[in-house]
Amino acid sequence: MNLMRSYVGKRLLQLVFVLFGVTFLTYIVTAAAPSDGAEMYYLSRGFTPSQELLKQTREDMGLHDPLLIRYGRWLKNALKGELGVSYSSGEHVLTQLGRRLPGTLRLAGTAFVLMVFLAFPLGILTAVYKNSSMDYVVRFVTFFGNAMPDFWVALILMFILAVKLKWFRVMGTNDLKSMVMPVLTLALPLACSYIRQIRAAVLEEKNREYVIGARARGVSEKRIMICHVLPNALIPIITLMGLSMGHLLGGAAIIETIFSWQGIGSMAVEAIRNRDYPVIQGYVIWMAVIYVFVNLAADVFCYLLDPVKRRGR
Amino acid sequence: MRDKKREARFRLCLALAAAVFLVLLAAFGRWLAPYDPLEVDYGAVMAPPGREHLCGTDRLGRDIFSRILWGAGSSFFLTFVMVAVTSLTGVAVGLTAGLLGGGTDTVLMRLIDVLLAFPGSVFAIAVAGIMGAGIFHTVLALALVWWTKYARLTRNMASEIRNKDYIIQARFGGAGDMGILWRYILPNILPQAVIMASLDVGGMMMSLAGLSFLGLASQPPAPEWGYMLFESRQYMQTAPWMMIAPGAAILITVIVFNLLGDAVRDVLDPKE
Repeated sequence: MNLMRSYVGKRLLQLVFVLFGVTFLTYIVTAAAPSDGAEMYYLSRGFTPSQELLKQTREDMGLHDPLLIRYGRWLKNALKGELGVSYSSGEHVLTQLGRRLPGTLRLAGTAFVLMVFLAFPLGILTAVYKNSSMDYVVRFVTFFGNAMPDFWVALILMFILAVKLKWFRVMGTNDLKSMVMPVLTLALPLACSYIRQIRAAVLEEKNREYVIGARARGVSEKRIMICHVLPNALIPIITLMGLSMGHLLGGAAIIETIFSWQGIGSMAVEAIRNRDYPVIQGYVIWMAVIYVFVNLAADVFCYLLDPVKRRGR
Repeated sequence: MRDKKREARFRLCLALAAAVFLVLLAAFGRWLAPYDPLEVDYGAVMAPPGREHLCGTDRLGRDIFSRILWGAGSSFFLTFVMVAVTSLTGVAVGLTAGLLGGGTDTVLMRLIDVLLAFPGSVFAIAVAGIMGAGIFHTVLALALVWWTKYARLTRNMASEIRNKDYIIQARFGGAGDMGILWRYILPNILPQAVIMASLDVGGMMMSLAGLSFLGLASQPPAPEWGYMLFESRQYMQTAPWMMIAPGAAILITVIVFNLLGDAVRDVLDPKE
């Protein structure tokens, strides 16, 4: 357990480092941008400022200071929990994040659950009944699913479910019914990829020598599968799924935009289109926090499941 | 075991033939195209697929089949350049980190951690959005993220191999650093990097299409598969063929290159 604690501590230290890195990186990128905050501030309000006004605003916003000083100032405010105000809406960045986050959380959570319920049974069954007709059908479908760009999947779902069958409206309003299409778009390609990975992992584990040994000792096939093969094969998969969850939580920018879903991914795309730097910076922080915590959670989970690691080697 | 290898080689030949065919089509497609991809024809706006127009026409009466053939060139070229540049950079950085170790290694690996904290496409959207849309910025942004996984793979393999007994033996035998690198380390790493690169082609093509779908990587009216799909969205009700052909073009290309990647892996992977 001590080992565990120092490990978690190390990871949290890493979080600090990653946060510094990503925020600084976005700062450099925004500094290299052709238009600055002062200009965007007026343009997003719909008028073109005069040169004097621009100069004055730049002075007020402190844009004339060197990059490092500006970053330092932003950092000081950020540590106090003030991430600034959105250029285009005038709303606090944290408020905006809080408003958009639930949409993404609902989408990501539902898509993840659906993906798990598709991937585990199908992946395991296709491995157990290798070369059966079901195996061929699933492999065929997942192969295609893997090669389809997700935004095309979205368009096809829209065409079939909204235009032809008229079950849903094309534009979403963030209610339960309009969740169906984006959730399917997120879950299906992901499930396709995991079905293949789970199948491959289970098949590889089934060929290990200890399985032959267990069989020789007269252990039943069912028991071998459930007690030996599956736990060993699925641990790495669960780690990978953790990473996918991280990507889902980042908000699927393209999918949310296609379905006009009010989430954090579409927020990022809007902020980027409006060059709304404070919002972009807030989004970047959210991404970095997710990345580190998801990695941490996946590692801890593996540690708890894997007896070799638990004993501290 | 031998049969498996032979079967994999056979699959490799098939996939390679299909891939070469697609590449030739992309390179010379513009001369096969029946129409000018930019030619506006108001007499044939959103014409369904038929004799005149194989895949139909779009909202300006432009021939979709010709646009796809023309768009293939830039799609393929960009994809290959990107995969080549990112894999070479990644391997170079990974080797440096893995072989030098110490401080260099730590700094480079932390840098990669930072870059990995972004999902690739979001970072690309951010860079392209902030710097302004356009092929160059988008490509730069994608490249900034993609090289990291090659660097990680190479670095881990290099630092593992570095202390193997046979390397130490070679050093005793008087081999220099470069000699060891060329003779022992690269031959171990390259097959893995080639496998990764060939499996990456499809993913790279989809990422590029996704960015041009968002309007971040294309200069309309130039034909671009991703952007053609974006345009098709508004006309889904009246002209669904507008979204069929570009999507199918991406699908077919990605399938062929995924098959190629799988075959390359099965032939090269020493584990098999």
